[in-house]
Amino acid sequence: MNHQDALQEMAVERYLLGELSGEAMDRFEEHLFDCPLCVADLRAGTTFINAARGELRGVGEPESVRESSFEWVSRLFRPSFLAPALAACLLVIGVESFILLPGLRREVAQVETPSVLNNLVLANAGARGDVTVEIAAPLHGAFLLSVDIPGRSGFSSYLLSLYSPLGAMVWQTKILPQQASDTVLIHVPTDITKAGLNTLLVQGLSSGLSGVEGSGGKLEDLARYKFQLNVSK
Amino acid sequence: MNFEAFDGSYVSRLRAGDASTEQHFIGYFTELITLKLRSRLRAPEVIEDLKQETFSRAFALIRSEGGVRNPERLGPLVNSICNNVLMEQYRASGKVEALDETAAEQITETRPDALSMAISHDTRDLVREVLAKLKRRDRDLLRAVFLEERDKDRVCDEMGVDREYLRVLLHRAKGAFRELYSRRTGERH
Repeated sequence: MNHQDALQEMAVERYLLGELSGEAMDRFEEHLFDCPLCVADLRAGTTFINAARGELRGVGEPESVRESSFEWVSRLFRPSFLAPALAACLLVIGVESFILLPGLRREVAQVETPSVLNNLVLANAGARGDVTVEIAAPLHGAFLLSVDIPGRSGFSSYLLSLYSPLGAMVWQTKILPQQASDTVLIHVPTDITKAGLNTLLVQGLSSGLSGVEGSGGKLEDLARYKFQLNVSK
Repeated sequence: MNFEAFDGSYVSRLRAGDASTEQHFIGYFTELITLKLRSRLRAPEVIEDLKQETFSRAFALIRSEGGVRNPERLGPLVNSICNNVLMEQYRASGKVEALDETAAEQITETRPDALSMAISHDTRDLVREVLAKLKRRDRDLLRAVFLEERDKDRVCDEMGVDREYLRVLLHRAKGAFRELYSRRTGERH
């Protein structure tokens, strides 16, 4: 192993996480004892981890790692995501109130009934190239996207756009920087798109002249998350 | 720790018993040897004994005539000595080399020693700054893995990420810490 191999394989991180064993560990240690660069990196890692323990101990209780279905539903009741979805459902119910459609009954039942949804994490844009991940969701159901907005400053807002496998934009929303500082949860009804390779585009919007949005503001692509949606009947 | 090249001059100073060179040698290799031993053994007293034995043999070899044929390879030599000490320990205790991940996961010290307590006050602010910039999920992930020492596969599964995500997170956090550290030490100088 040489230093480039160690970097490519993230050997220091694997060592710190205890993921190396046997021959792989022997091979890395043989290199480590001969590489001041890896030694410095390892030292930084152990120092960070040991100090971080103390800091993480002092920070408040972590969010429960495994959230119940009721907790998932309560998080969905955020005005910025639920209000548009609720408004659309109410409109459909109002228009179709005299026509009983089995599909419409299912949609209403799913919105009102707590349920466990499959969740897909979209993060680390560009860290390891374009990796396609998969998620399964029921027909007429929904799934969750947990999206990390790449942390870059200078944007007045962010635009999230969902494109179906056919390339059509099926949904779009704007979020503010304070929302983007944490993971963004998106409840996606399966029926708004199709099974296949979907794309979630994350763009940063910088203010135009006089700081007024829409007056020449620039859109910059920050992340393009591809995911394979498998729809089950 | 200042970087010093392992060369003929360095080895000569070690052989001559130069105090600062000896101090550098011990300081440089102590952490490496300790991490190596901790990844394979559990008992702290055995780890300490084997570390001392490794240094003892290394110094004996360095001080012997023609003991170090290739000064630039001093690091691999120390690694090799440590490997021999480990093999003897395994034979003496009748155990097969412990290579499972459970032992390897103990690689980072959970008990702060005097040196880490002395430096942690300076680095604590930097680490706090790095952690503050992380997303909450990432802080929770680091807490679960390094403070609560929970099973990594289970934690990743619960948080909806994979091991690669955890590696990249650690890589980025470490990189941010190093950048802050070099910026602050550069400012002081």
